[in-house]
Amino acid sequence: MARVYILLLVFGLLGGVGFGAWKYYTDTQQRIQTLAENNAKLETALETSEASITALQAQAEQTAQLTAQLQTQLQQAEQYGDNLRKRLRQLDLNADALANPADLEGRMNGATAKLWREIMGETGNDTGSNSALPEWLQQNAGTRDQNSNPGSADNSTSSSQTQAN
Amino acid sequence: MVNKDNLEQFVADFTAEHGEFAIVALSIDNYENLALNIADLRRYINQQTDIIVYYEESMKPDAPSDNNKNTSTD
Repeated sequence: MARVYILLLVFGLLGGVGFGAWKYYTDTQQRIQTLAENNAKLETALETSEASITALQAQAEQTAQLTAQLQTQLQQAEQYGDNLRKRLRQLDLNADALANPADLEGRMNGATAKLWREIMGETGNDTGSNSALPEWLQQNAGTRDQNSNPGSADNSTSSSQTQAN
Repeated sequence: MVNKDNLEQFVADFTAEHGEFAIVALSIDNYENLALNIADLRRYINQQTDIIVYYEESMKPDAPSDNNKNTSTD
């Protein structure tokens, strides 16, 4: 009788060990599957993050480049005014007006024509130097004498003394 | 351009052409101020154009890159 009990005990122990092993195996397999799925999700998230970082870096680089370019162009836009101030400091227009008003008038008109064409070009008019001068600039108001500088009437801007560039 | 030497001739020519002598005169100093103000307007126009171009370039869609294609899992 004792042998039967011992045999039942051994079978019970072996059955418990077997059940434990089976349970451990299934749990482990399920855990491996879960971890594999999580790993796949993390890899996808990592790819997305790396792509986002790359895109943001490229965008930041482009923005920095455009900003530097804009800064340069904003400074270039001030060049004409700076040159004009410098030129006006160098010239004595009052003395020129008293000495030779016709010459000064021609130079002023030439500079005005040059400025007019440059502004037209900068604001989208692509006719450039072929564009006609405005009527008010071509008119002869009768203030000039016979020796008047023709720079105000023709299309030449060579008489400009207040050149921007 | 009128100074004291050609003023009389200017008045005569102007009156002969327009009938009445009524003008808008500009002194040399005021002419310089006008030129500087126009230069300032030109600067403003050009700077605004530059800013518009800047935003247009910034808002352009990015060119298709190979970054996404090259990222692969091991």
